[in-house]
Amino acid sequence: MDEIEAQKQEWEQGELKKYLGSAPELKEEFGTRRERIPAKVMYSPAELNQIGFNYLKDLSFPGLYPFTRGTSPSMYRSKLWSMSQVTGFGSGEDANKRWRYLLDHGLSGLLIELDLPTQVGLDSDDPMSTGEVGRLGVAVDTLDDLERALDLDMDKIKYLYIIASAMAPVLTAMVTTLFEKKGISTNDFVLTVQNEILKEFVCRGSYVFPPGASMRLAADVIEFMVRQQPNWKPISICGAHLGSSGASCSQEVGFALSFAFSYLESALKRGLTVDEVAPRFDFLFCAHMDLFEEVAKIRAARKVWARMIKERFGAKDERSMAARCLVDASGITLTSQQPLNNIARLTIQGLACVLSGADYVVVPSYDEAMAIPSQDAVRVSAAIQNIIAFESGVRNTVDPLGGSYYVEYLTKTIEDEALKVITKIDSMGGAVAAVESGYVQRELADSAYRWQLDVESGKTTIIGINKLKVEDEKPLEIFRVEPGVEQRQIERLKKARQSRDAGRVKESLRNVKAAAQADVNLIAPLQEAAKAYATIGEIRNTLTDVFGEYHEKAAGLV
Amino acid sequence: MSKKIRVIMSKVGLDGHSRGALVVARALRDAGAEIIYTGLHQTPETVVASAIQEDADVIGVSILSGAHMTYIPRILDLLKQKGANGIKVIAGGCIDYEDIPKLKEMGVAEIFPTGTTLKAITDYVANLAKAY
Repeated sequence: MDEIEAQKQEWEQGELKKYLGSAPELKEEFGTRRERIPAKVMYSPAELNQIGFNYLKDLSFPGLYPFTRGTSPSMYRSKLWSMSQVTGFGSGEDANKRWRYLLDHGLSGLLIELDLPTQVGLDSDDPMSTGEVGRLGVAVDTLDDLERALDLDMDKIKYLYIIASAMAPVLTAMVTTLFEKKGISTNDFVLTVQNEILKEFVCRGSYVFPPGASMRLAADVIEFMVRQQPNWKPISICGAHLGSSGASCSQEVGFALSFAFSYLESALKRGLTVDEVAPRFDFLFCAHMDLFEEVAKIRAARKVWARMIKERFGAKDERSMAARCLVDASGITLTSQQPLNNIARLTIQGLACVLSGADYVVVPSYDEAMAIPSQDAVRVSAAIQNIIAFESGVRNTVDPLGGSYYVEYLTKTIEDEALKVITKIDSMGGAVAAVESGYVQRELADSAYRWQLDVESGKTTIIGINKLKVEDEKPLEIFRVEPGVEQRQIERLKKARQSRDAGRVKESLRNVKAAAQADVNLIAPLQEAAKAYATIGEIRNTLTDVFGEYHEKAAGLV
Repeated sequence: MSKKIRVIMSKVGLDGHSRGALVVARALRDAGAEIIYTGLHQTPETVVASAIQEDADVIGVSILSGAHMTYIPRILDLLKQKGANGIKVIAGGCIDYEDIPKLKEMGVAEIFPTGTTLKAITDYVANLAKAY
């Protein structure tokens, strides 16, 4: 090592200095895109030695603590990542048609997007739902809608993820009821319910109930699925949305893991053990454009989770410590200017997902800066994942970037910074307190503003936005939700209300209310309400009667 | 800015993504405007009421849900009803490019779709100030 260090210095003073004399560097600093880590001109064993890198301690082997290199020993050689997309619009049949198309064109995973009214428990004919029904997700008013949407050959699905957080208890009740009815076992595929309400308060806005009640509901879902559904995942901790809202890499990991600890603590209060609960936690991170930084971030996230679950929560089971990650080749970096350029962006980001050792990967579509995706665009994105899998060779060995001096340096740096973020949240009394105080929201707003100022000044380049702009582009043909969708859904809802047993609905809602008031797990009473075809609005109103509604404090964000 | 332009920055409807609205609000504040951010889940009624109460010059509508053709025309109608259609309405977010001319015809002063620079928005508001 001394010899390497000595020769490195010789190179710096000699060859490098000489070369820079005639070819000075083009920028003052070459920083990573989100974390702004200043990259050195070159990394060598000397750099890793400086930060105390130790192969066995920092990396070990794939499938072993601390899981830096991946959650399984042979990763994509034995099992490809689940190729997935976020998808949904219209009513059940509309969504179903698109989902069949996706499953026939190279995907094995669906992340079900619900429309905004469903996300916050509003019926399609609620005055607040006007204009929003089926527009950016599938409308689910009753169990019947979900049944129509999920009329699929379940053999084609490896990964099904329901994007519901405020309404996670209702969707959990509906989907478990549905699959029980269909005779589907929890071994057939991985079902995940997002159930991640803290990020709604902070950056997504689809919350309903106040934080305390929301955490109780999240714990109801976790407890129910841990006790009753082996294999299925009752929570997906969302770093990705924080990333889309401007979070740096260390903030994405640090805030997300802090949120995870809060949910875990809620579940432990129910008498469950860490080794019963932690293996059921999945993560959702994003991958933006700086490939090496994003790969390092995901590896760091796995490492930090493993260590903290072991040291802070005393986990004994290795499965508690292995953070299974869904990585999303984020849509936030895409532009509506020259949208075909986004295919390049999605490929780079998709590659980052795979090189980071993601267990599941989402690649969105090139038109998503403008609208929800068209059928052509989703097909291209499915092809991107398949091209990476079958043409690029990156799956041939586990963690191919492992050992890269640069990537290991970035991994350790992000790990250290993420731990600082966790310590800060700890000092504030944990994630719920940090969210209620507005701290996380302000940090995100600060980061987002700083990012935009860098774009405005040209410090951060976006092709088509501040470099290589094209005027008078021919507009892309985008996907538009058919105008009759809302009216049709409202008519269906009215029919559903008429054709059910009103007494049974009333009784089931009474039981939901009683359970809500009594601290009894809500999922079983919600299953009865679902079977009675109670509407999502009726259930929401029953629960707001007990829990109240949350109104965000908008102060201090500007 | 020659006159301190008062802007209501609003999130209308169920869309809860506030990143764009907050970034634009800060840029306008730094450019000298007086900004009031409404918070999420506003209705056309609450936005117009705030704008009138706050003596706003501009209502900024940030909307990513695709429901802009439901909410923005209602805001314009309410302003007309209340005799407040001197207040300029500007909008941003995921606005279908085919709807842009329609909205302008209805009376929206300017639309700033995704990819717009902050400079374009602050210049626009600064020009409004000059006109006063």
